[in-house]
Amino acid sequence: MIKELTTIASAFIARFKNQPKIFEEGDMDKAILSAMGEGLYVVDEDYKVVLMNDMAVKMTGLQADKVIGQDLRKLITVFKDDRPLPNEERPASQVLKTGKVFMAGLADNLSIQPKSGPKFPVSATITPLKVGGTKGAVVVFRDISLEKQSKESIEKQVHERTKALIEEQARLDASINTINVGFILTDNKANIVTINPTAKHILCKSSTDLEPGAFHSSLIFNVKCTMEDIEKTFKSTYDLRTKILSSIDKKNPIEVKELQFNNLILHIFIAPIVVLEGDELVIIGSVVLVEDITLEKVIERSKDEFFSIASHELRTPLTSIRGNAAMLHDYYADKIEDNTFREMIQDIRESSIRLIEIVNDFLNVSRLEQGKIIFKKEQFDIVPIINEAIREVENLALQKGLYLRLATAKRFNSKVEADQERTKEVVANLISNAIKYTEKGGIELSLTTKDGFLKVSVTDTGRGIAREQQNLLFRKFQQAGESLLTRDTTKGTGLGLYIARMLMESMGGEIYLAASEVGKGSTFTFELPVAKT
Amino acid sequence: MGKILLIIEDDPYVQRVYQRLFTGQDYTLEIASSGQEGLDKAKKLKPTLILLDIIMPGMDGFQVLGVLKKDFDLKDIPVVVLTNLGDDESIKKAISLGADSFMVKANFEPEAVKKKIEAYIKEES
Repeated sequence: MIKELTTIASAFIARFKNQPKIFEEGDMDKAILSAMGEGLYVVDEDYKVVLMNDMAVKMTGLQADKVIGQDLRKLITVFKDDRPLPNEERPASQVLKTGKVFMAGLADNLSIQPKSGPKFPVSATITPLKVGGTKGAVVVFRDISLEKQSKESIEKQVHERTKALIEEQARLDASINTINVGFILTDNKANIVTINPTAKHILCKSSTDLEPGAFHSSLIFNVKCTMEDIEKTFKSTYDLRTKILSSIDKKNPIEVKELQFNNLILHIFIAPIVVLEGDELVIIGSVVLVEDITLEKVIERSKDEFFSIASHELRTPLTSIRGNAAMLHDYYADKIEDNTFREMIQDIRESSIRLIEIVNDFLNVSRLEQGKIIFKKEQFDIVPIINEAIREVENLALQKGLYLRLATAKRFNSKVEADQERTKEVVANLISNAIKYTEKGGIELSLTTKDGFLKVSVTDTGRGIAREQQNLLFRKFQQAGESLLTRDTTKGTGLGLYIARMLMESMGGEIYLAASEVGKGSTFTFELPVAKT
Repeated sequence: MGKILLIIEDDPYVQRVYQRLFTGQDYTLEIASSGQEGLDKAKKLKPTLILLDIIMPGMDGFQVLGVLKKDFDLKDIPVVVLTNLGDDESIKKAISLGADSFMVKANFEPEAVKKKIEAYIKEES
């Protein structure tokens, strides 16, 4: 029987070879069998081993000469999904019984365990043999430990990546759903792919019966809000679909800074989503951000109104305090016999002036910061402007016994391009600062030109500014060397140089501390563009 | 007929400052406490010069200015806006509506206001 099957096996093997007969028939069979990368054995219908090749021997750790004629079922256990198979369920039994080819791959999760050796996963092909009345089966199998491992590691990676992706998606969804900016993703036909509750609340609220507070409830998640739903109420205000398509078409974002919609003021931003596919930029859709800026705008407007009201309400009573005190001094001086009375009236007048200046400084800062000051572009000679500014404040210098003069220089073109009135303000501010901080000597102004700019320097012989305090000079509410509690309130609000800087910068010029030495004095310089004609 | 200075101003304290300032001059001072009263007095008296406040209850100074400058009989009377609004937009608006000049009340002492007013009154003969 065994001998017959050996012949059969040889015949089977003969199917693999199509070579010229260099070797004797038997040599060739053996050579092929031992060169095979797969394990191969042949059993007869009683499951007795007829033949086993070198690879099979190597893999199972059995000894070829000792297994021939043995019942293979006692030598090797077969597992399916880690369950040992009873004899009748073994694949080869099935093949012997049915005469059909059996094939098992990685997915079939088949493994074998030789009598004395470790279990390992296999792929196998079992082919029935039938020669004459004799039946048998050829089993070709391969150790697929490596494939299985790499499959498992790929599966693990896929699992981890999927998990990461799901988590990422969850984070993204949570972010999109909780931000208080309306967020919409569309495809490149302007159909909505994703829309967050805030966007629904702003754009689809009127098509639902939701209470105002429902925004944070889960109800809003169920509101249907397609592009068609949005268009029902929004299209007459803003044609969102057309704008999205135009943004996609032009590959450019679109922004509307302020859009009035019902009682809301909206800020809208549309940007195309561009991907690089090969060398080509492809637009796959758009992102739409819809922000409700109503509250901000209301606050901004009430701030404007506040300053306008403050300007009026504070200055009106101050007008009558100042006016009455001034008139007492100017017209009724002869009727006031008591010197103390006269001093008191003068104090009231000066305090009211100071208060008006403070209010004016606050208003100026507010207007400058809001860009509400309109600057003229005038071409004018700066010398008369400087002289006017000197005249405005020379009384203060005179009272302290200080000199105040414009150095007479060689005549050159002293025409600049700026706003005349604002320039005078800056000059007057620099001079009155210099007077405030100078006790002896005086203040001299000088002019130079350089690279298309006219430089005006104001040099005093005052107390000077320490180096560590110099960089704070042009900031808001700064007085050199003063903390909040030690500030000298008779020297102003600390807004003067801040205002001067903003004015100069708005006119295309600049202002800076050119030099200063403690105990010797300071030089402040500003530059303005020279007039071109 | 003598020269008349009409002041349209709602704040009683400020009114009294101007009353003291312009009393005893060679022109008559008339005061109106609201925009409407100011327009009525302007029509009746044909003043030489009008000093006009902006923020007033009822009808504001800009509205008064608009009516004055559309009235054939009144449009040639110079108007000096004397207010405590000092922002560029208000100044521009007043000038574009036909105001001759614009002064921020708190920034001018009575003597300076008087000089400016008298220069106008002298010019108008």
